[in-house]
Amino acid sequence: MYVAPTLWFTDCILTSVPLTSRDVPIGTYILSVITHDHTFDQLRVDVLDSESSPVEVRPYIAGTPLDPPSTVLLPYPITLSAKDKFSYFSPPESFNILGMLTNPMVMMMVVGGIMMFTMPYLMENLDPGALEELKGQQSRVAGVQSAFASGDIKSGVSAIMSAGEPSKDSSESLSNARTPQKTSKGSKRAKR
Amino acid sequence: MRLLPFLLLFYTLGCWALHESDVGVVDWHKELIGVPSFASQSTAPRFTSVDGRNLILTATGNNVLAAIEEKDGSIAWRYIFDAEDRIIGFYQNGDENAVVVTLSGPGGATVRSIDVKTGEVVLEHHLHSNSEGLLVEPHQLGKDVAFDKSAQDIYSISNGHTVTRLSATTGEPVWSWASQDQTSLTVFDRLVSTPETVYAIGVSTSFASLTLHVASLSASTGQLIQSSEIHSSIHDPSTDLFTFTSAASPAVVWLEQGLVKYLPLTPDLKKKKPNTLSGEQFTSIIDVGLSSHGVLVGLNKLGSTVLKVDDDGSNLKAARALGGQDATDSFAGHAVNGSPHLARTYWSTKLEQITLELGGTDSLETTTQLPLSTEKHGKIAHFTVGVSPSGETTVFTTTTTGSIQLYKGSELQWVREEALATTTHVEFIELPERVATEGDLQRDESFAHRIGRQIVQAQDFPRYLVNFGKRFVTGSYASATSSAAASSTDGPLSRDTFGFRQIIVSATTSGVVFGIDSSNGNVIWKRSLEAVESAGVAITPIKMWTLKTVSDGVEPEIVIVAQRRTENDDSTVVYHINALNGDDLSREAPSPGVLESVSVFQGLALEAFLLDHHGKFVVLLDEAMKVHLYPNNQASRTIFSTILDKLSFPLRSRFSRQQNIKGYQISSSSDGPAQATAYPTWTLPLPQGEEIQTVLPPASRGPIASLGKVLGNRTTLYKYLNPRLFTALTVNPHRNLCGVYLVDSAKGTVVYHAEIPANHGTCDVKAALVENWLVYHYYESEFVETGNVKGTKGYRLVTVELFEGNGVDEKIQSSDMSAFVNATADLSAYEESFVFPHALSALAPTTTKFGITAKDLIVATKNGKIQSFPRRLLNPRRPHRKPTSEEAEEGLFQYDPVVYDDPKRVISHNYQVSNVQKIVTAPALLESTSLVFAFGLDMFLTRVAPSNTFDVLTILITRPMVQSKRLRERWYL
Repeated sequence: MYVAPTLWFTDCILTSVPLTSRDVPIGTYILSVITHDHTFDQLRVDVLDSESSPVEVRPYIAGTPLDPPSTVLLPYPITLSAKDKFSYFSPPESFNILGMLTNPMVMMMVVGGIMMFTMPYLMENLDPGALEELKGQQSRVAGVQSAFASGDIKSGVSAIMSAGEPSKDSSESLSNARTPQKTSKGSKRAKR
Repeated sequence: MRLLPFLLLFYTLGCWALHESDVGVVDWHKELIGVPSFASQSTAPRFTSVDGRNLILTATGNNVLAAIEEKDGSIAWRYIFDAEDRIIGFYQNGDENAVVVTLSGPGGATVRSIDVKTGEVVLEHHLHSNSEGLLVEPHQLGKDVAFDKSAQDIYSISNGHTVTRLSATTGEPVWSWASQDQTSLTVFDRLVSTPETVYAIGVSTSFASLTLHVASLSASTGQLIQSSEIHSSIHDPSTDLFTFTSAASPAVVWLEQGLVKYLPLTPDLKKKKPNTLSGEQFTSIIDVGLSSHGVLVGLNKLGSTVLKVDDDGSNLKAARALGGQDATDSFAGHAVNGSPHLARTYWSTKLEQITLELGGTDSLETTTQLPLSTEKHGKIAHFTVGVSPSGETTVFTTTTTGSIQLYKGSELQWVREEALATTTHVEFIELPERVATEGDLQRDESFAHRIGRQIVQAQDFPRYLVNFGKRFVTGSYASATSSAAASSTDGPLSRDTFGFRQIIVSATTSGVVFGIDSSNGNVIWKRSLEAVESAGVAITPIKMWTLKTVSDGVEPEIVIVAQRRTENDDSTVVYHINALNGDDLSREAPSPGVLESVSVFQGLALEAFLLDHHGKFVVLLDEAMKVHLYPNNQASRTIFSTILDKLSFPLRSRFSRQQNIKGYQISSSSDGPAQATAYPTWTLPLPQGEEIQTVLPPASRGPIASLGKVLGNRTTLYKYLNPRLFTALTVNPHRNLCGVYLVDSAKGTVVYHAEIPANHGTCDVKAALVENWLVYHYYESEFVETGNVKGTKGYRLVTVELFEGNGVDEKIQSSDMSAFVNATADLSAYEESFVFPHALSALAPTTTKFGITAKDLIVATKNGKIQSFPRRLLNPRRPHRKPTSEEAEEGLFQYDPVVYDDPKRVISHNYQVSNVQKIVTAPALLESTSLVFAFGLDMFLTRVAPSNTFDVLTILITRPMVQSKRLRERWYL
């Protein structure tokens, strides 16, 4: 019994590999193509003790159990084509301003920086009522955060629970403690 | 915003990766073929030409068939045979045939037809399976190939009894004939073909000697025409039996008790009485590759004589005498336009040069001198001569030092050092720093002398100025990816900025030691050991160490322990060499020629090791367990006597028909260290039928940067760092199992043991141990339903990490602990197995100067790649679920049974690094970077930075910083 696969590379055809009449005993085999520069799929080849279909070929994924075998049968004789050509090299790193700016870390920092300067102006343009409401919300968020950060989960949870019903004294006690700048930093931490 | 520069740094450093521009700068690759095997005509080098290209075909001792370009010595192609598929010979139907046919494997199992132009296999046919091959000695006995001149079909003899005709177009057998007597009584060894008849010529065993046996077969059907025994007495068919293959008169020639017998062959084999060459007696006959022209060379005490067949093919006659007979003479033949030419080389004492005489069968024509440096390259061991129609001679020589050279006329064209392919031991040697050239400054030098000296020194000034200017303008300093090669003006050997330029000392089995420049792979020096000089002496290096390094304040020194084998006795010898220039340091007045050995004792060394304790010296153990020291001086004896009772070492030993390991200690003797002997202390208790296959030496004690691993929850796992651990690999054919043992050499405690399935009774386990990390690779041939990687066949990589105690924060200080404390066995092993994508031929972890950098695993795969696998990937503590934040903090990520085969980590990239036997890693001066050297057949060296080059700013960072600095300087100055 012999198994003679034909190998196809992306750019050229290797002559039908002359693997002739190697007596392969009955059993289950994994056919891997060993090449230097190309990748090939692995195949499971069963050499059976049967006249009608002596060889069964199935796709095989490395590391998966051989049992149960795949239900997909591939044609025999085997024809394989290269899946990919290895690329060993990384493109040279260039000092690319655009690439640097598209880095999420840099983007976050740029947005943070812009917010730092524009926030006071935004605050000024808000009407007093809306500002008061905003401050109240922020202080509650900050309260929850600080509770969690200090490990006091219970009070953090209770702070969340009470978030729906605004209490006047808490907004008052916190409103003078926080500045808009600091709040923006706090929100950044929340994002992280 | 202040964080920005740091962020930039982080971002631009990126991941360590190979760039296309680094190829040939940070790495080099030397393709080798091995030393040509010239013992038999069927493997010896020969000239061929295809499409106007002149090539040299040769089979080599590294089991390679190679074609070398005649014009520049580059490798046109090479075909590397598997280790179990040993090449028997290569055969060509005429010098300009487009295919070369090879016969290889046990008993001549495989016939391949290879395209001479490209080296591609055109046909492959298996005459029998490898297991059916008969193993005979010499391995070429009973195998031959001949051709059908018109149809190009291939005739082969395999196993000494089967003749097969293979079709040249399909490779399928046309017919096959096996002799009736398939026992070893008759062995057919040669084939001669004519258009109608194929003659199989062999020998039959009779009472006193061997008699000639000839069978004639029909070329078209393979039917036996006649089989006949010829009354004769042949001593050794491989040296005394020859066949003439010329189509007109096939004939057999043999040497019988000094007489040359000649028998022309006819299909009916009627003539049974050979003609005897009258007059002269010969001690031996050699085939110079002209047997198809009916020419041989006979040698006797008086000289050498050409033996030539008559024009009508009826008789053999002595023609021209070739001249005096000396052991250094060698002969070659070549046919020019169908007329045979013979060449002889000899050492001309008058001219002190090697002389080549060339002539026809009847007269001497030309004499040329070959400018071969015998001091450097040794003598000519074999040569092949080619004569162009215009009369120009081309000589291809193989010297006794394994270098191959090509001469055109008397001009040397190129040299290849093929002994490098037989390297077995390698040592990296750091170079000294560059010395400022102020050496000849004298206090009382005259004015004129000083002016002269300064003018000489001023020659270097323009280069200095250019370099200074360049550095100032471009801000280009040495980077981790710049070439380490010395420029031609650098003066004596010195290291580069980061210590990438070192000397690699390579000891080979060809009896040559090389000093190789690690920056470009060039041979700096080459010294031949005694084996090259005197025939019958074989020198095999066993161990090699650096005795002194640059930091000892002297030129680095190397010591090689070798076995010296002659026909009569064996001895253990030591070579002591200056690593920078190969000078002999063992003598006061060394001879300039071959390196002379220092004989330590008679017999073979059981073990040799280097002791590093207030100075380094070598301890050798002879067969009687007696201790010998090198250098054997007062200092080493004193040091040895103070520490000898602390020494313990394992030795392989054979007792009760089982290979096992015994532990030894050295008994102190009142008569001083010269009388010290080793005595056994423990034996590894192996199960019945299990044998030691390999003992890997104890892990080299590189610097250990951290004693533990801090986990995410702020607890610590302390590394089990027992310096006495060594790895033993075993095989148990009865149970079809292989074993991996980690053993404490002082008391034989098995610290770690694993049983892995063998592949049909054989074990090919590759293992490496560094610090507390053991990694091993094997082939899983059964699909077991247990373990992490269950139900699949294939290659496995297992990593094991040993930690002290039973869990976190348990510390026993294993690295400093005495061997006799019970707690040395108090450890826990974390292990994990992975499906590995490749078969391996070697593996090694990286080493760095201080051991801070992570250790990657460097492997040589069987498809010719050197690849690195990050340690993080092979961490046995990778969780089998999504990692918790604590685990993520530690750098652990989820376990995946398949090791990712990342092409970006193939450090040998496009190079095909074939047949790597060993990988050696060495530190550079830069902590982040390790040098990786792979050898076996090819040689390959590169640099790797497993944790990125954290100690060098990349060029991308330095350049903008330097530029902005310069800009500021211009504003404010």
